[in-house]
Amino acid sequence: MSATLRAKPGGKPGGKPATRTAAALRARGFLRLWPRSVRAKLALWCAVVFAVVTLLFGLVFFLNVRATLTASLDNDLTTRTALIAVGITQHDGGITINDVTGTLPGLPPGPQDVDDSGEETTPIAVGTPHGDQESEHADHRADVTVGTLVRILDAHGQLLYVSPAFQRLSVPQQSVSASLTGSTWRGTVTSASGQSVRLYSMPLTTKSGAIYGAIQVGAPLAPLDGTLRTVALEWLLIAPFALLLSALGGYYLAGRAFRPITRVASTAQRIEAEDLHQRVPVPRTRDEVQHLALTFNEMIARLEDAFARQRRFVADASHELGTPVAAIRSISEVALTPGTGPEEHEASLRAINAEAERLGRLVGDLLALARADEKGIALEREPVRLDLLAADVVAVLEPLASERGIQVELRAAEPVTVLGDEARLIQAVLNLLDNAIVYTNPRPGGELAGRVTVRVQARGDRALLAVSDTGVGIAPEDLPRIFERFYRVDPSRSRATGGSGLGLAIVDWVVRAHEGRVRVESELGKGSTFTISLPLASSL
Amino acid sequence: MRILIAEDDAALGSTLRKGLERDHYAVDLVADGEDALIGALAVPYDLIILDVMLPRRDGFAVCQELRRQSRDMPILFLTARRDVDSRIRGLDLGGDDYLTKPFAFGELEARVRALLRRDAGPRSAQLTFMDISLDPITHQATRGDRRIDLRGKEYALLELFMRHPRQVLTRSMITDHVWNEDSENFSNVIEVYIRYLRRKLCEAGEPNVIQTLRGIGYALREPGP
Repeated sequence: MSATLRAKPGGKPGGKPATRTAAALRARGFLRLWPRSVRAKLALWCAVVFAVVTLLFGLVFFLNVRATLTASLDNDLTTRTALIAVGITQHDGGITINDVTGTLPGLPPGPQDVDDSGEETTPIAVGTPHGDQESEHADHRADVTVGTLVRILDAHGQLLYVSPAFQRLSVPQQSVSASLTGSTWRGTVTSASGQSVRLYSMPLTTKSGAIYGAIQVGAPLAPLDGTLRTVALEWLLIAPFALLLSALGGYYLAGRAFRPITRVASTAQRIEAEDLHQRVPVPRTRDEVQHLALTFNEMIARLEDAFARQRRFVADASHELGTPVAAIRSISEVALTPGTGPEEHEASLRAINAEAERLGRLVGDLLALARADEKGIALEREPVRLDLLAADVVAVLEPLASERGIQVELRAAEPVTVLGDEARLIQAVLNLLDNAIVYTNPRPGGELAGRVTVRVQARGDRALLAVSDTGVGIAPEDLPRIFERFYRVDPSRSRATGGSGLGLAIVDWVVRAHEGRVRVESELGKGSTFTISLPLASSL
Repeated sequence: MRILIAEDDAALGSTLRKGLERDHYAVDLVADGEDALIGALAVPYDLIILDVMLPRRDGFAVCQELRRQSRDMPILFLTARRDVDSRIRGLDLGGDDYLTKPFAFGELEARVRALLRRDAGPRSAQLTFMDISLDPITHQATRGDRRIDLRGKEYALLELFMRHPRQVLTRSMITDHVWNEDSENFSNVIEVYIRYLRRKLCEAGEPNVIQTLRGIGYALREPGP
């Protein structure tokens, strides 16, 4: 490696962030107003949605009402105009206006009965509007809301009749010209005092269709406006209350919905590592909250199990460590009593050495398992020849086997390569073979009593290493538990041979760490076979 | 061979560790002077790389205390300070060598090899025992003209034997010098590694040089009569 490594920078790294802008501070202040509880947020959203809906609805309603009222007004206007037009006739002498509706000021009301020929009792030839009679009442009639708004013109646009109130309107010429050319005109005009008036202008035609004049009738819009204003006002008065009601309603409903969640939270707060038997209340409703509560309870149950296992492990480990320590103490105490000779001292030292070795093995195994529990354990990943490894392990344990009268056979015909941590794989295979030898009936005296077979082969994309023995076997009820830490089928036996009870637990973790599995098949009195299955290096 | 690195800069420490592990050293990393002192007093490291500026106890103080307690392993100081006076002080307090940052990793490696050489007899870079030779730079082992292929721990084990020829190495000593603190009890595993090594060293029928001393350990020795 020839990379150059940089020196450590002097002093503390970094400094305070740049000064905050006023805008950023204001933005943060605003965000603090935003409610934090889901409940309040829900209520707020509820209110906002309601407000928007209300606004839209109100707007639509208002526009609709206005359109309807306006249409109604226009219809009335048209009808009234037609009615008034009935009393207007053209004859050779000119145009006669009869006030058939009785609404035209300055004209006497029309006769109650009119014959078809259209003869009236008192025709009035008009040319100019009546002046003096109206001027007395000019003031109050000037208010367009009080008086009728009617204007009648001849074919040349000359005024035939105009009601006093109409005189105060500013009417576009277009309305006249349109009517005199045969079309109706409708529009909104304003009076001198600024009031709005709806105007309808219609041509006067003879029975044959000839246009001899125009009639214009107006209707004040003030009443309509008044109605609309009332409607709008009522809306505006009611809306805030409705809004408030919806917000409160939303808040209340949200509260009811969240009550079970709050209960879950408060129970969860009370749960401590020491007190994992508690469970949160599960509501009867088959909804998300129930699901949450059930899942939560399952989690607590798993944690309870894990903690229980942990406590058991610590208790077992302490017990196991205590035994050899106690042995060392008692042996040394005996050796220190006055009167013991050098031979006894030597014997005691040998015994202490053996116990210390046992203790060391135990501590080492415990350390291995502690590593297993750590997430960050870094295992080597190099190619390992499983067949050669098995051969070496068999050779190393050969003295132990022959001492116990066991024959060990290796069947590994082909090279089998896996990727992994060589040292730990050796440890796992050592443990399995050691177990097999120890648990196969020894017959002191060297008579070949039992047989252990180690088979290494590749099958598919897996590497298989199997250790079979003709030993005492394992009872079915013990089978699922043998990989547990400190689990011993026969405590007296394994302690005597110096086992720690952790051997299989270590095999299990090593194999799992290599993405493999270890299986066991056993028959009481016949023997057992442990099989490690690992992914082949070639398949990875 | 087992090395302790005491460096509080996490990135640098981890880089150094990985680099030295690739050279088949067993490496432990600590980040302050107190941990360095405790570690060095408990474990028989073959070499300590000590950063001078360490929290809780600086490198010089650690070195001084170790020497006072008769720990004689070579100590290599690392520092960003360039002044001569501190270098003089460090060496006089018992340090063996000095490297100023920034440095090239290759130079660190070479200095480590040089410091490890000091304990062994011959002054050449290559380690030899009978017809076996080990090149610590290329990590290549040969016996006669035969090249021996050794992987990680096998190499580290052979290097340990070659640096302590004819000395008895117990299983715990071997564990201490070939594996770092993250490793569990490998005393049984060592037996298997010894077998591996023997097989590789004697593949062409050469005599075995690793002796087993029952109940005690192993030693690299010329084969007896």
